Amino acid sequence: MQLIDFRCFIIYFSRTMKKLLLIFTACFLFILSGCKKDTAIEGPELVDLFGEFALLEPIRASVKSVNFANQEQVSFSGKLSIRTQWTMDIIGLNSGAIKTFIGNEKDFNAFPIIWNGTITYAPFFRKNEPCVARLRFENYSDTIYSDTISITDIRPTPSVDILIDDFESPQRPYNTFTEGQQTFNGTSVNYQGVSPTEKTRFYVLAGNRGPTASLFLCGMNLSARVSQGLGSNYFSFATDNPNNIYFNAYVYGWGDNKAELSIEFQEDDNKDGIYQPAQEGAYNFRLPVNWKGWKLVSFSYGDTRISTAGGFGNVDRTGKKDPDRIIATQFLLLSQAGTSGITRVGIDYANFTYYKPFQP
Amino acid sequence: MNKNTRYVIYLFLMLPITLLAQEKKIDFFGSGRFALNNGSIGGALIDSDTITPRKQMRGATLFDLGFHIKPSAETEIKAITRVTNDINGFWGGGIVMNVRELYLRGLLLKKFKYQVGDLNTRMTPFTLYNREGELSVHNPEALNTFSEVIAYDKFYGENTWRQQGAQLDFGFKFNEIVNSLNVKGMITKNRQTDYFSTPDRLFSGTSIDFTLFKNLGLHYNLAHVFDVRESAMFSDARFSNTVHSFGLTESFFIKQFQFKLSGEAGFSKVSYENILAAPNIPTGNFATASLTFNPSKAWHVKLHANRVETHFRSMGAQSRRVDFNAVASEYSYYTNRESVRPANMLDILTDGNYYNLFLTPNLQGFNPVYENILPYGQATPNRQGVQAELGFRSKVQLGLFVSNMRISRYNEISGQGTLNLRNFSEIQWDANSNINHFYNGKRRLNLSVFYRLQKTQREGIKNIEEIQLNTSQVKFGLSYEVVPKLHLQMGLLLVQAKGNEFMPSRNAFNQVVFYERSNYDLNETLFLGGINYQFSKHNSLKIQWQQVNWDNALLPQNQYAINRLSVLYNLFF
Repeated sequence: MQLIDFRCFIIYFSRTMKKLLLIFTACFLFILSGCKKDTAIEGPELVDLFGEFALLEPIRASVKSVNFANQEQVSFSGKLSIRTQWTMDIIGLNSGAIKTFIGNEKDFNAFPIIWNGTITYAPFFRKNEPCVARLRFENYSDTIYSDTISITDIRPTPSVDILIDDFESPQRPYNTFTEGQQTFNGTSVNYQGVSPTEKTRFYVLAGNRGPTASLFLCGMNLSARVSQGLGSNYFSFATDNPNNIYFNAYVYGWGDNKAELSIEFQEDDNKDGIYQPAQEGAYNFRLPVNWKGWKLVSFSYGDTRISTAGGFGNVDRTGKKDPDRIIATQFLLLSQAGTSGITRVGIDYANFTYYKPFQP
Repeated sequence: MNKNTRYVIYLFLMLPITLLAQEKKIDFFGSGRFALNNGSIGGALIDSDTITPRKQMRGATLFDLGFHIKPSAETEIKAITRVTNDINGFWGGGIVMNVRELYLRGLLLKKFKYQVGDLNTRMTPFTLYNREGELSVHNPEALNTFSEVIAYDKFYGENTWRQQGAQLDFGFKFNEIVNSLNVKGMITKNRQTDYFSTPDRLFSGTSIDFTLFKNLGLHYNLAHVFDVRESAMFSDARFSNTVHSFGLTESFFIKQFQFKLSGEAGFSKVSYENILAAPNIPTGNFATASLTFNPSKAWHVKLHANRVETHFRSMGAQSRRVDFNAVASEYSYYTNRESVRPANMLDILTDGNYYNLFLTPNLQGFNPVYENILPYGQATPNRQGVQAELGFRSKVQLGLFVSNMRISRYNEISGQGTLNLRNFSEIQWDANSNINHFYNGKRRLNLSVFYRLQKTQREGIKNIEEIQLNTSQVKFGLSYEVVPKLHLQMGLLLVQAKGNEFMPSRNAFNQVVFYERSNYDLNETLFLGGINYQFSKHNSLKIQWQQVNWDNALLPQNQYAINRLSVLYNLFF
């Protein structure tokens, strides 16, 4: 009996279905015709990006003096009328040290800039040194300065996990190589009046590219065995995760916008103690050196890419990054594409840290 | 392994195939192609360019050989190998060999269809769908072979995406109320892990289709993209995108008039786990309905309504065919800065480099000059609107005549960077006819015309929020059969854009983070003229002169033109 009732219902349902569907369509079209306006805005507000530029509140530091040795911090406040790309440099007025922040927020009160005494460009800040914050804009010519801040004591330099080289020992067995026609400069003290960032020496790679020569100028290779001074052929990292191993170094640029530095890590994939460039992988990180002065460069091993030079590390037997098989670090000086003539780059205090970049 | 050893191994591998062929369990098929482009570039932009070579010649020959192997009545294997040789690859230096397609399919227990290997996958326009790219419809016949080659090379079937994985399909038949039930499931690999920081990514899809009362269809589709846990040893990061879709289709008569009704509604979810600064993406809903009415066999009227919320994300449906970030195969870079040359009409219509093979998690960029209303098809987020279409298709005494007119009106649901919404309107008309029937001509003379006008408007503060953009496309095609099989073909395409737009830049989470201000007073023309010899339905030779001219009056120093002689021989067997 119940089954018959159910079938009756289904038949009735089928007859009314068409009407229901038409009603459904009409309702749907009616809802759409309402053109509901959602009050939420997608993306940043246009007036914040393309409106009139003005400084609404001056740049102010939270303190007049700071003791970084006591882990004190300085925060900067201020307000712009629009969001625009800006660069804030905190400059040591005696040392010339620079800490750089880059951003595009318009309200520094809501998104404060906090400085803990670290540097971006060496040398280091000094004790009892006055500093000033300078704010510049990518799309506007205005430059804004804060009042001065006095550093009563500096931040202690943190330790690194593995020191590749501080370039203080000229007698170390650096394996250097160059294209025939280029000059090559090894370890230098105060090279061309440039002071090292740390202790007394740093390493210089320099070369002269002819208009039709290759981009490669010269290079230096340093084995992990020499770097660590241990019996092992390979760096002894505490982790095998490439993303948690950071390479750090100070890199000096002469501001000629011609140099490119390639930092390469050679993996001995079969662990026979010999790196064979045609059969084993090399991972590198390339950076155009477009600044003048010392800059701290950091990147994780995970950020490196396999070599693209045929026969020079572009084939990896294991098919992946193996930090525990890095047998050597190699520094190559290249000319930037479209440039020629003399160029150079300085390197100091190359090291590895775990889990986060080196922050002196 | 030396060459001789390799040949011996090939011989042994071919032996069973030869034996199978003798038993007629194996079919051979394939295609061949020769393409040559010899062109030059010039114009105001090139006059000040001392780096870009003025002339380029590129081309390739390729041969596909396919095998259909049927080891048993219920099992089929399809494999296609490809040999490509660039014109510059003399003495075998540029030869590339690869396996283009490989799958195995069959019937399990006489009920379950399965396929493993390469799959052509499609679900619905909101779950998994490979919609047509820009400039792809109502083109002159002069462009036919070029578009066929791209579709073949990129595996664009009937709106399908080529993926690799496994698929299972089965169905049941019931009574007169519940007529049938069909279930399809698939799982495909979307991304390969690097074992360290990038996990494997899979796509799974399920379709369940009921047919009730003969004409009523109820559908459920689920598309799910997800990263596989523990497939990258040093990453816990996981992305997933799920779309649930419910649909119905109904066909019915009111008096003698046939109506077809279809609707689909659903929602999407996106989640990011263990990814630094990843946002919470709200659920995004969508709903669409279409009603088609046929007052006669020749005429049809279609009404369509669509609403897709701003946060609706569907990797399978929003991936684009045309990738405007790709680099052209000819004149890839120009100016002394060696900038990437943006795509022009000739590139989009003939260069396979611009066509995407893979599903992409990000909303890819697009060019508003070519499409600004629905750049991601029906699944374009942040759109609601209606379309009305009137179509005529008749095979009367005067010959086949097809014409359609469509009017669309859309607007945004959320303002981009402002509370004001973009409003879109479009009118489109096309016609195609063999007009030799009008004067009883024996030689085929085909004429095709297409016109589209799109308007984008947004009110607001001038130069900051306000948008006024008008774009138009005109396509004109003529094909005349001079002698049997030999056609003279001509095509003219014009694109104009005038006004301004704010193009959104998105981050890795598809959030809008910036806008690029663009101003247009663009005239772009493409002229095609040449011959087409049709050896058979699937075998043709085209020799064609092509000229594209790109000129934005706001940037007169950027004007350039490419002239090109193109030879394309294409054969499917």
